[in-house]
Amino acid sequence: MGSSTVWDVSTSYGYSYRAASTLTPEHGLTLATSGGTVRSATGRLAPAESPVFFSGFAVRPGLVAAGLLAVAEVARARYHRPVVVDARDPVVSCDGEVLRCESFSDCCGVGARLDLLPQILDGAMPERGTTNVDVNEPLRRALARTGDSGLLHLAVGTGELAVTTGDGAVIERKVPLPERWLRGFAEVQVLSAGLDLRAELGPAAAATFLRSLPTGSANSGVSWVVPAGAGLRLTSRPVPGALCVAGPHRLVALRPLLRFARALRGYGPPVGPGSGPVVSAWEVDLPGARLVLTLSPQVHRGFSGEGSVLAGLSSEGVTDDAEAVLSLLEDLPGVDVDVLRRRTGLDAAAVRAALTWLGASGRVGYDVTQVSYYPRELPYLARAAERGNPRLVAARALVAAGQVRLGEGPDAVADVVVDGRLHRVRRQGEVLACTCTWYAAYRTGRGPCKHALAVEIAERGR
Amino acid sequence: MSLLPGGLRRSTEGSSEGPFGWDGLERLIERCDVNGIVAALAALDEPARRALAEPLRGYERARRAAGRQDGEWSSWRYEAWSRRDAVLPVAAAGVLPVSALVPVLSRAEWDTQWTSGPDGRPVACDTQESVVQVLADRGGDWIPAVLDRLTDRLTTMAWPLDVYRLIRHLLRHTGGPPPDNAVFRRLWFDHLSPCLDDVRHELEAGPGWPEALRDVIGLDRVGLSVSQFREWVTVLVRLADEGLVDRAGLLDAVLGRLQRPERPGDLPGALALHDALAPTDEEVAARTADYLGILPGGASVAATAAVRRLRAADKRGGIAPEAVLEAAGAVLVRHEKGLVTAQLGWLGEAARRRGPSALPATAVVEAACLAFRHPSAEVQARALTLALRHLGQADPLTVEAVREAATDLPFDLRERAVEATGGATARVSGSDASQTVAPVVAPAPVGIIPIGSGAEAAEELAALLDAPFGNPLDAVRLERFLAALVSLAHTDRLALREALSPVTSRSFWFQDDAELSWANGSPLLILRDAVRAATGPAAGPAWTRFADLPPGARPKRERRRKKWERAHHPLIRALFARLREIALGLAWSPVPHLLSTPTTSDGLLDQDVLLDRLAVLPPGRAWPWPEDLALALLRIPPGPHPAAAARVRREGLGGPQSQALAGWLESGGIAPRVEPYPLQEWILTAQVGYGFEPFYPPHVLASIQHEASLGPLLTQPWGEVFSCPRPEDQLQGVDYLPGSSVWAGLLPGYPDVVAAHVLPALVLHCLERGSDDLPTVLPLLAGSPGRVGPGLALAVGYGLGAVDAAHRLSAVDALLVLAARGEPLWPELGRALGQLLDRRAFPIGRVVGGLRDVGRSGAWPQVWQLLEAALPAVLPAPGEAPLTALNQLLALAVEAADGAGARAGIEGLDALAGRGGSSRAVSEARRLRQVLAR
Repeated sequence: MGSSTVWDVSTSYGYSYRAASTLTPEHGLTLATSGGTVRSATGRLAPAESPVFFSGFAVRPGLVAAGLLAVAEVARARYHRPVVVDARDPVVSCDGEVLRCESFSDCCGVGARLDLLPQILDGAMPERGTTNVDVNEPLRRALARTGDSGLLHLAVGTGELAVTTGDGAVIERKVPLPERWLRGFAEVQVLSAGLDLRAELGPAAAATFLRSLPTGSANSGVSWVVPAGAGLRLTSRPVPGALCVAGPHRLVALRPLLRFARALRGYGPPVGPGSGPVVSAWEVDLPGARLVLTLSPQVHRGFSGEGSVLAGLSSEGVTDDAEAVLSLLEDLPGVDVDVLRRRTGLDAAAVRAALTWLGASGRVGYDVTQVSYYPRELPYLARAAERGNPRLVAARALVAAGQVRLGEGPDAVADVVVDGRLHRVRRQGEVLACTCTWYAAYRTGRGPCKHALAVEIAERGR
Repeated sequence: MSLLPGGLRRSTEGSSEGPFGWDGLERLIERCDVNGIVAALAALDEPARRALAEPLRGYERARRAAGRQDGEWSSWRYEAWSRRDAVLPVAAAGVLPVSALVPVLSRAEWDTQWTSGPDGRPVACDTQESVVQVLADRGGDWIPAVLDRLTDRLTTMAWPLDVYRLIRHLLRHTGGPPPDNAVFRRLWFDHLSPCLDDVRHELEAGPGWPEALRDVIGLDRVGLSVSQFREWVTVLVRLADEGLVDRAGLLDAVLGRLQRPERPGDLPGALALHDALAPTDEEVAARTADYLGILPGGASVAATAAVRRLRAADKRGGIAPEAVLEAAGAVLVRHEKGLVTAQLGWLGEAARRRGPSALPATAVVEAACLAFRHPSAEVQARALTLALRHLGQADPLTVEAVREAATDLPFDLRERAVEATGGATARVSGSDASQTVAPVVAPAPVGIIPIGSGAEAAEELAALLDAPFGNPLDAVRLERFLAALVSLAHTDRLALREALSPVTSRSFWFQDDAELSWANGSPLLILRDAVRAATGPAAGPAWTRFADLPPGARPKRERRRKKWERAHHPLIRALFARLREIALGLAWSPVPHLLSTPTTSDGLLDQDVLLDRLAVLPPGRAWPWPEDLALALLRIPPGPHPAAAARVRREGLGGPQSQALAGWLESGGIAPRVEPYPLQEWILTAQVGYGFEPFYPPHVLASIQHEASLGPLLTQPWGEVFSCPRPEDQLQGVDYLPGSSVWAGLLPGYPDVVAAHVLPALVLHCLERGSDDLPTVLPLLAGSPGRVGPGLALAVGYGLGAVDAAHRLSAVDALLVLAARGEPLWPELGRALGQLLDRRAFPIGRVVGGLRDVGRSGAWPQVWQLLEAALPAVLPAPGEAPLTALNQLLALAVEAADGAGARAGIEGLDALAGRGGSSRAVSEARRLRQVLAR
C-alpha cells in the first residue's frame, strides 16, 4: 500500500546539461543539449552526451524566437484537464540541412515541429543526429522579448564552450516519461503519413480563421471546417474535403506566429458523411521556416491509443526491411517512398510497413508538408514502449491462452472468448470486423480491437 | 510476533551501549514506540546502524508482501498494522543507506498524529519530525542527500503530498532554500494562505524563499488563478513595499505570465497584481520588450493592458519609434475590436510627432494597412483614415501597396482609397475574393448495400446498441439492420439467433426490463423487442412491454401505451408504430422482407424496387404489414408514377388493396400544405418529462393540412403526421425529439412537413433548451429531394437564431445546400426571418455571423435576396426606435448588396437614413442607401 499508486509513473528520464540555455545580446541564443545520438563519419549511430548541431547565425530573430516559444509551449501544455506539468524538453534533430525542433504535449494529443530551413540559417552543422535541448523559464522570457531586427547568433550545443564543473553537467533534471507519452510521440509520425493537403489560406484569411476559432474550454469539442471563399468556415458535419479541428483551443500556439505567416495549410485524411473525428495537421508557412501542429482526433484522445501501428507491429518480419530503409534515409533524407522502393528493391507495401515500424519505434519522423520521411532517433526507448502496447499485449495473451478459435474457409468467422464472453471476428475485405464494443464505437478508426489482433496473430501462426 | 525468519535476527556488535540489535529494534517497531526508536538509534554508530540495515529491509519487504496478500482494511488489526507502518520509516531513517531509504520514505504510510508511549498509551508525535531527528543524529550530510533524492521523486509521483510534507520538515531543519522543482513549489503555494503574517514568516525562513514565491507567481495555472487572488494581490504588494519580495522581479514574473497564450479566465489575478503594482512609466519603458512580448500571443485582456501602459509611457517619450511600430505590427493583425482601435489611436498619435522620435510615414501607412483585414468596417475606416493621412509623405511603392490592400475593403472605403491613391483597385464590386468559389454542395446520396450475413448483422446491432445514450440514431444503419433482421429471421431463425448471440448475450439492453426503466421511450428498446422476436420462435413471444401482444389483447397495457403515445410527438409515434409493427410481425406473421427499406442513403425508395418487392411476396400472403407499406409509399420519389400504377393494375400487386395502391401511384400520393402559424399568446403546455418549463413562447410555428382523403393505405400514425392544423396541440414532448438523420430520412419526399414538426423543438434552441443534435437535421432537410417551403424557411430561421453557435452552423449549412441546389426559397426565408426578428424571437446579432459566412462562401446574391425580403419587417416605422443591433444587420446588408451588385429600394430605408444624428443604425442605413444607389 504505497502512497504513489493508481496511475504511478513508472519511468522517468534524466536530462543532464552542461549549462543552461541562454539568450543574451552578446552571445545570442545558445541552446544546451543533452543526450541523444549522433551519426559518426562511418555512418554508425552513437550515443552522445552533448552534441553540437549548429553554430552560426539566423536571420529573423523574432521569428526563430516565436517558433521556439510555440514548440516549448506545446511541450508544457496539457490541453485535456490542464494542470502544471514538468515538461519534457524539445527534441532537436539535424540532418545536415534542416534543424527540426519537436515537442509533444503532456496530454499526448498535440505534436509540434519547427523546421528551420537553410534560407535563414548561416553557419556550420558539425554533427548530425538527435538530442534534447534545454528550454528554461528565463530563456522563455528572453525569447518573448526578442525583436525581429538584425541577426541572431544561434548555437545548438555548447561544444567547447562548456564543461564548467568536474563531472561536466551543471543542470540535472528528471521528468516523468510515461509509456503512453512515448507511444503517442511515435504514433504521430505514422498517422501523419495518411494526411493530404486540404486547405491553403493566405495571411489575412489565416488570421481571420485562427482568430475566429472558439478557444474557451467549453468549446473543446470537435469542429469541422471547409474551404469557403478565400478562407475556411466552420461546418456542422463532415463533408468530403472537410478538415477536423478537434479542440480548436489547441491551435492557440500558432497565433503568435501570425504576424510572420505567409500561409496556413491544413492537412487531413479523406472524410465523408458519417466520419468520426480524425487527425489534422496545421502548417504555418514562415519565411525560411515552418511550424506544424498535429492534433489528435479529440481533446481527450491521446495519439497513444490510436492504434494505427498495431497491425504492423503484430508482424515480426519487418525489422530487416526497416534497417535497410533507415540506412538509405540517413544517406538521402527527404526522399519519397518511390525512391526508397527502387533503391531497396522492396515492394511499396514492404517499404510502407518498414516506415510504419520505424515511425512507431521513434526512429523516423514524417514531414507532412514535404510528403517525406526524415531520420530522427528519439532519445528515449520508444521501441520498448510500442512493444508493450496494451492492446497488443492483451491480444498475445488471448492467443497464448488458447482463447482464439479460427474458422475454416475464406469467409469463416473466428470466435474469441474473453472472460466467458464471445466475440466474433469476421474478415471484411482488408480489415477484420468484430462484435465487441470497441469496434462498435470506432470501427477501424482507432486501429484493430484486441480480438481482431488476436485473430491476426493466430492466423499467422497457423 | 516477528515476521522474519529467525536467520535474519542478528545482534549488533561494536555498539558502545551494550547489545542493542535487530531484536531490540524490531520490538520497538512492533510496539510502535517512536521515541524509543529515536533514542535507541541515537546511541548507535554508523557500523552498528549498517548492521541493522539488512534485517530491516527484509522486515519491510515481508510486511509489504503480507500487506498485499491479506490486508485487513476495516478491523482494529488494520489500525495496529498501519501504526507499525507509520513507525517503520523512523527506524529506516536510522539504519538504511540513502538509496534504500528514499523508496521507503516515499511509499510510507505516515501518521503525523501520535505514537505509543513506553506504557503502550498514545503519545502525541509527528513521525516525520522523528525521521528528521534521526537523520540529523546520523550526521551533517544525511539530510541534504535525502532531500535531493526525495525532491527528484516528487516529479514522478501521483500522490506527492506526504513526501512534500517530509521535505518541508527537512527544509525547516536545514534552513536551506526551497528546491527548484515545479511540483514542490506548486504544493508549497497551494498550502500557503494569503495572510500577511503567515507569508512573511514563510519567507523569512531562509534564503531563496522570496524568490520562490516570485517564481510561483509567474507559473501559469498556479499562482493567482485561484479564488483568493484578491487577498494574494494585497499581500504581495505589501511584501513588495516592505522590500521582502523584490518588486522588479515580481513585475517581471507577472509580465512573463501575461506573455503566455492563456485563457482570459486564468488571468484576472495576474492582471490585478500588475495593476496593483502600478508600474511607473519609467518601469514600463525599461521593460518595453517584455510588454511587446505580450502583444502577439497574449490574451486579449493582457494585450489591452500592455497597449495602454506602453501608450502612456510613450506619451512621456519613453518608447523608441521602432517599438511603436513593432507593437502596431503585432496588434493590428489581431481581431479584438477595442484593442485594434486603441492601437490605431496610439499609432495615429505617435505618427503626428515630429523631430528625432518621428515615425517614418511609410512605416505608419504599411502598419495601418494591416488593419484593413479586420472584420469590422468601423475599424477598417479608422485604419484607412490613418493610412490616407500619411500617404502624402509615403513613397510610391507604399501607395501601390495601399491600393492593393484596399481591395479587401467594403465598397465605400474602397472608393475613398481609389480616390486618394489615384487609380483603380483590382476589383470594382464584391468585397471578398470568394465570388468565384462555388458553394459546398450537399453530399450526393449513395446506394444502400444490404447486410450480407448474420455476423455483419451482429456488428451493426452492436453499433446501434452501443452508441452512447442520447447519440443520434443513424437512419441508414437502422434501416439496413431492420431489413436484415426481417429477411434473416425469415430464412433461418436459429442461425440468426446464433449469429446475434455475441451481442445479445452481453448487451445491457437484453437484461431485465426493470434495469432499463431509464430508457423508457427510447426507440432502441423496441428495436431490442424486435430482435427478441426475430431470434425467438415465431408466434411465441418471449418479451414484454409494447410488443407483447396484438393490439386489444390486453386492454390495461394498451391504455397505458395510448397514454404514453398522447404525450409524445407525432413523428416519434409514427417511428415507434413502425418499430412495434416489426416486432409484432416478426413474432406473429413473419414476412420475407421489408417493403420500406430505402434504396439510397437519403431515404428514397425506388418505386420499381418497391413493386419488385411486392411481386415476390409469397402467393399465400394476401397483404404486407400496413405500417411498412404506408412508409414505403411515403418514401418513393414525390410525384405521379403512371407506369408503376399500370404495372400494379396489370399484375394485381397488393392483393385487395391493389386499386388503392394504383390510385396512390397515379396521383402522386398526398400533397400536404404547410403554412406559417403565428401563436398569439404564451401557451401553457402539459408538463411532460423531466422538468422543462410548461410555458411556450408566442413564436411562429407551421400548420400542416392536406386536401385529398388519405385513403386506406395511410395508417393512423402517418395520417397524424400529415394532419396538424393546430400545432399548439402538438407541443408535448417536443424537447424529447432525439436523433436527426432519422427524421430527414424517414420522409425524404416531404422535408417541409418534417421541418414543420421539428419547429416547436427548434424554438426551444433559441431559448437555451432542446436536444443537442436536432439542428443537424436542417442541412439534411435542405438536401432532401422533396419540395421545400415555409416550414423549412422557418426552421432555418430558428436555426440561425439558436443560442449555441454550433447549432447555428447547421442553419448555415442548410442555407448553403439550398444555394447549391438553386432553390428559389430565399425571399421566403427572408420573410420568415423578418417575421421572427420582428417578434423578438431572438436577438439580431445572432443571425449576422451565420449569414455573413453564407455570403462569403459564394452566395452573396442569395443572402441579398434574403435580406431584401427581411429588412422591411425589421426597419423601424417612423418615430420608432430601431431594434438593438440593427446596425449589424444593415452592415451585413451593405456587404451583401455590394457582393451581389444589387440596385433596389428597400421600404423604410430612406426614412431611417434620412433621420438626423449619427447613431450606428442610421449611419449604416446611409451606407446601404449609398451602395444601392450606385
